[in-house]
Amino acid sequence: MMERRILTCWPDGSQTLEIVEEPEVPEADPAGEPAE
Amino acid sequence: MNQTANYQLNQWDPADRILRTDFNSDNEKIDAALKTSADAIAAETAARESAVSAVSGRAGLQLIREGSITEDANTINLQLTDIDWSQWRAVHLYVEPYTSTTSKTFSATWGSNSSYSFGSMSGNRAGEAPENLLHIILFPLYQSQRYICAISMGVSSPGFVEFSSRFGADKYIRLSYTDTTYLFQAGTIYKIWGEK
Repeated sequence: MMERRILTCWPDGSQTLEIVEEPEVPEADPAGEPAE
Repeated sequence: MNQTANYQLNQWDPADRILRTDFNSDNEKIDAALKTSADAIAAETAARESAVSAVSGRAGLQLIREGSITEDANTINLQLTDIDWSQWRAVHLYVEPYTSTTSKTFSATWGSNSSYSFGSMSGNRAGEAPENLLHIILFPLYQSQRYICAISMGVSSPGFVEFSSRFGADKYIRLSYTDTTYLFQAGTIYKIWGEK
């Protein structure tokens, strides 16, 4: 497993860092969220 | 005794008596006239400042927000939930990406859907003048329910894009490396402007 560092920049100027694990060979959509 | 034409201040002839009350009367008239003039100037200044402010609010680019990332990351999500799309003809996103490599490209997408792609591009080396700058112009045209349409510049294939997602959807712009080996570095700059 690899770690993905996801940084979110919020409207108030704050930032949050989320570290998620994902397979060694990541897919095109790293977060795996469904398409609209 | 004569008086001036505008404010009726006393004008003494050689034969006129000089009285304290005449001076007091003149000073009261001068004081009142100066106050009236000062009030009029203040009112005119306020009116002009208000007019300039009103025009400024509808002209040119207005900075909505800007910042730089404080942590290294493989993915950056720029949340756009503060933008009232119905208030803007266009919204400009500018990114100065500093990255751990300039030989690999990252993608810019609307949300997490990889098919809503603005394109891909390389980053810049920290400490050097940036060569790769991302500029996306979104065109809500004062309609939050409009489908996303934009011009994307700085990417390897710049051009016009359109997605079947709406501006009013709770969305963000994502910059992301597929491979977690590569990072956006702290100091990467972003700016968002609104255009009336």
